[in-house]
Parts: sequence; structure tokens; C-alpha cells
Amino acid sequence: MLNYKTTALQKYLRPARWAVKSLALSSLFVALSVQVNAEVLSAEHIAQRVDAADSGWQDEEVKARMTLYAADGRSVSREIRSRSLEVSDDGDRSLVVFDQPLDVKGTVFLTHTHDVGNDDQWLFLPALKRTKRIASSNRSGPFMGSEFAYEDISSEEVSRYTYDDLRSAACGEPFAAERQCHIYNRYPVDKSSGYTRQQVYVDQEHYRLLKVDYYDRKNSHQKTLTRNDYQKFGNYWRANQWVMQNHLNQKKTVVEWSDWKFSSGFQLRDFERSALSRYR
Amino acid sequence: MKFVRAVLAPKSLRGEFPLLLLPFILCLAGSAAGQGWQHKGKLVPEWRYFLESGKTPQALDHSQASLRAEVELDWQSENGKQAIRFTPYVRLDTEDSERSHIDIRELNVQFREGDWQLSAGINKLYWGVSESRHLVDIINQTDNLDDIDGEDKLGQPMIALSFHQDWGSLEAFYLPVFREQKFPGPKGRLGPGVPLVSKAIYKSSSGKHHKDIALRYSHTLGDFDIGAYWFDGTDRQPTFTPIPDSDFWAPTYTLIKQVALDLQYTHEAWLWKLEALRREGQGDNFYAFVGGFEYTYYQMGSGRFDLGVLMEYLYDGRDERDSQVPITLFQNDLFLGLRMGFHDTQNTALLAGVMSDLGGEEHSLMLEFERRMSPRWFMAVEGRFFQRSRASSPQRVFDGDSFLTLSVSRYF
Repeated sequence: MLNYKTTALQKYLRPARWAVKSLALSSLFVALSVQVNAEVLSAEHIAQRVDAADSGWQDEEVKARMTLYAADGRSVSREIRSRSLEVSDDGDRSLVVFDQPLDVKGTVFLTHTHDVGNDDQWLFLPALKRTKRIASSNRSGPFMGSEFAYEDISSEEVSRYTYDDLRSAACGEPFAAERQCHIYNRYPVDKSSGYTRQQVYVDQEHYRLLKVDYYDRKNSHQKTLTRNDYQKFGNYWRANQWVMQNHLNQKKTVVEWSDWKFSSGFQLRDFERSALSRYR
Repeated sequence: MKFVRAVLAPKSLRGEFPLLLLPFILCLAGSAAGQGWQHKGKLVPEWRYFLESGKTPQALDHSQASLRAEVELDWQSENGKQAIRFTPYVRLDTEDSERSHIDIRELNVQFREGDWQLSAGINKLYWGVSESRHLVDIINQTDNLDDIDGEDKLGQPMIALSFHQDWGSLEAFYLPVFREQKFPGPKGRLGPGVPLVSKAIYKSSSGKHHKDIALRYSHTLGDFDIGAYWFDGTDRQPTFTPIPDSDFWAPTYTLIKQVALDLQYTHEAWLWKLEALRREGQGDNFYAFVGGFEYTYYQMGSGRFDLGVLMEYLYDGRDERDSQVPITLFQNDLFLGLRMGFHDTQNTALLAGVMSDLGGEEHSLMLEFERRMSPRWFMAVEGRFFQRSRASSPQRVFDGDSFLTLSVSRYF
């Protein structure tokens, strides 16, 4: 059947767990930032503020169209729908259903993330009506044959990295010349990560993640992620386009997000294994 | 010409023609009802090639072509609490008119309220975790005409009620009508090896209307997924009874009571699996199980593919000499398999496995290859190769029936 590793676009959508817990702290950071100059803040503080700026949305639904460009410019596309739920006392939950390509239409992924340890993941295969529990330990593999690895679309969690080298500079291409960014390095804690280091660009006005440079295990500059076309929905900023450019093989993946919906009132039971077969 | 004839007037479809119109009527109704309807479908030309010619003079020699189609129509209410699904299925075969058949895989309504869910109608569901044998899966009858791997199922009429709680899910199934197995005709291959009459014998006095019942509990506890059920009803697999003063045999269905367990432990790249059952009603009570693992090596060949290694041991304690007991190929067997999943945009995948009878030293080999050709086209090749077996072996029924199947699916 389908390649097991079609997982995890959904993980992007889970809110940073750290952030949920630190909701109260976030106001403190706001207060701090008034009194303390940006240079005194550490890279980790910036990461925490990015997290805090994106929590409290309860549940979220979104459609995504992913276009995979080969080095010669030829392309294929995939379509998915994702639904996720903030969980206060554990990791968040998400369901992803595949609409395109048609041979995987109706395949559903359920993820329960946890504060500690590996995530739990199930795959529903519509042809057999079979639900399979699958291993979730493969973080560096590609998602649906794209230039995104699972870990690239997992949530931006503070605790998954160590940080250093914070500086302030222009965000650079493709952003407006006057836009200023916090720029810092982060290092994955997980040994199974495909990266030694990532350089992160966060805009100083809204603490949105604009760009990430990925350095692979050989420390080559492998990929660049750019998040474009930010739009505000209630209190939350969402980038409507993600572009992942691979510099080593010249391939590119573009994700167009659309039809965002927040706070629809989903419950834990809508994200149980037993809900998989009825998700349409 | 044969094919045209099969398409225009397949024998097994006569009298059921109005059913074929149903999907179109529903499509119309659906588009009239407007929003909330979704559909998906596929049309699959398929070609099967047998390496050896047939064992009987009537049997087809080498090649058999088919066309199958399946459409799924779905409706869901705005709040997601009510849903309707209709999935008609048809196969037309060039050689074996018995293999041409239609089925309603699904035609059901679902209602959900809080922790409760009720569904009524024809439905399809799957229980179990193992790869080499689908031992505990029992609700739906296997559609042998499509394939012998036990993964194609006939729709089962049922009323199902489920209740979901923090401590797990409880489901009750009431199955008012039994679905008989279908068999290839005299021209077909991979049949039971004896000429059959179409009228089955039932051990229950109520025949196919015996009220089968199943109760299932399932739950996830950390790294463990657990399921257990109790089933009281008609065994899906028949035995064969010789009809006096004739060369023919009749499929015979017995009543069984069965408890079964399915369990999976998932840790890092390991999946540990167990299916087990205890059955009464067919001679002496007996146990059967399938247990083993799948381990995956990720990002092999410079990140081009993942490699999974599978091993499962199969045991079945049924008494083969008792004519009341359906045969099994898996009394004391070992399955070894490899699965390759490529990280290409075509989702190329390869599965190969060997099943070895540890008692009789017979082997069978299975190969599956699949690849997306375009957003709407998908191809699959499947091969099953049976080693010639000793006279007393149940695998003897497949002697000389090694085959390859090529299918190309067009999705819409």
C-alpha cells in the first residue's frame, strides 16, 4: 500500500506545547521587552516569544496544496486537509486526510503528540478499511516525496533545540529591504534529526518565523524555507505560502495554505483512533 | 469478442441489471441535493497470467483479463453527525463467467451523538494487525474471485452500535444475513479443486438467516494497541460435503463460537504483532495464532528508500483430518518478508515474502510491486508462486496455479 512515511504535515499545526503552558509567561516577556533592549535577550527568548505569539487557537482546520518541482521545472501536486486540536495537559492531536493524488484519496493520518517521548501515529487505509499503528521515529525522512522532512513540518517547539548567536539585521531576500529580523542559530536535540544546525529569521514586529536555512549532517547549506504572504486571522498570523528550496539537488516544494478555520469546537474524541474510519 | 460478450451480458449479472443503474441514480440524487456529496472511483483493467496450463480440460490455459470498477459516494451532514455511503462494485471477466460479479461493498447510514455511534446497512470493516495471514478478521466474507490474499471483502449487512470512552471502545454487531463465498466456475483457476453445486448446506436450521453476533473491545494504552472480541455465528470459511450419487460437492457452513485477540506493541522502528483465537464448533476446540514483528531501516541507499524486515510465525491447531473443519494452509509456518518504500514522487513500493511450511517443507512466494504513473493512473504487479506439494498437503489445491497479475488503475 501507501508508503508509510506520508506522515506529519499535521504536526506543523499543533501549537507549541511549551507555549500553551507559558501563556502566562508571555505577558511577562512583553513587559520585559519594553524595558530590556533586544540585544540583551537570548536566542532562546526569541524562540519562546515566537511560540507564545501562536497559542490559544483551540482547534484549527486548513487545506494545503503542495507542488513538488523537479530540477528541470516539471511539477506534480498533492492536496490534503488538516484538522488539529490544542491539548492542555499533553501534546496536541491532529488528523490529516489526503485528497490528491487520487490513489491515496481518503487515507487518514492521526497523530497524538506527547510532551515526552515519541508521538503516537495511526494510518487509516480506505481500501481495506484497515487502521494501522505506525512507527513515528523517522523524523528526517521526506514527506510525500517532497523537499520537506517530517521534522520541518513538525511544530516549532522551543524544547527541541538549543540556541545561540542572536543578532539583529535586515531580513534580506525576498523580504522588504527595511524589514528587520532577529537572526539566530538553533541545534536539534534529537539525534535522529537530519540537521546539524538551522539559522532562523524572525521578524521583529510580530515574532513570525520568516525564513530558515537548514544545514545537513555534513554541515552543507542544504535547504532554505521561506514563509510568505502572512495574514492575520483573529489573533493569529498564518503564512499562506511556504517555499522550500533545496540547494543541493535544485528541487523545490511550494505549499499553498487556504481555507483556515479556527475554534470550531472539536473534542478529544474527534481525534481518537476510533474516529479515523469516519473522517471524510 | 469474448470480452465484449462478457461486458454486454455477464451471466452472473443477469437479473441484477437494475442494481447497476443505482449508482447513476444516486449520483443524480446527490448532485440534486447539492453540497455535502463527495465521490471517488476507479476503473481497473487487469490481466492475470498463469505460468502453467489448467489442471482440468475446461480450465483456462494461461491468460485471463478483467475489468473492475468501484465507485464510492459519500454524504456527510454539516455537523458531521450523519453520514451516508454507497460503494457499488463490479468485475467483468473475459474467461470465467462466474468471476464476473457485482457487489455492494457499502450502503449504509451513520448517526453519531456524543460518545455513541450507530450504523445500519451494508458495511465493511477490518480487525487485525498481522501481514501474512488475516486470522482474526471475521465480519466480512472474503471475495475469493478478486484475489486469494483475503483482502478483498464482500459487503456485510449489519447494525453496529459503538460506545467510546476513556477506557476504550465497545462495539456490538448484529449480522442478520450471511454472505456465502463465491467460487470460480469450471473455466476459472484458483478454485477449491472440486466441482461445486451453487446451493450451500448450512448446519444452522435457519440457514443463511442465522443471527450472527459479535462484541468487540478495543483500546490504546501507550505503546500498545489492543483489541478483543467474541463472535457467535456462521464461520465465513466453508467445508465441502460430497453430494451422494454425484461428482459434485456442496459448500457447507458451520456455526462457531470464537474469542480472539489482536495486539500490537509499537516502539521506535519496531512493530510487534500478535493475533490469536480460540474456536469451538468445528470438531475439537482449537487455538490459532500469528505472531511476529516488522522492523524498518529508514533512509537506506543515500535516503532513497526505507527497508522493512518482516517475520511472522503462524500456528493453527485445527484437526485437518476432521471433515467438519475448514482447511488451512498455516498450521506451522514461517513468513519472512521485505518491504521497500521509495521516497520518490511515484510512491514506488515493493513487497516480497516467502511462506514456509515448517512441517511439510513447502514454500510459496509472493511479490508485490506498485507505482504511481500519474495523478490519475496507478499500476501494480502481483505474483504468487506455489511450490509443488506432497499429496496430503492443503497447499496442493494451488499446485500449478502460480500466477502474475498486472493491473492499471484509472482514478476519477
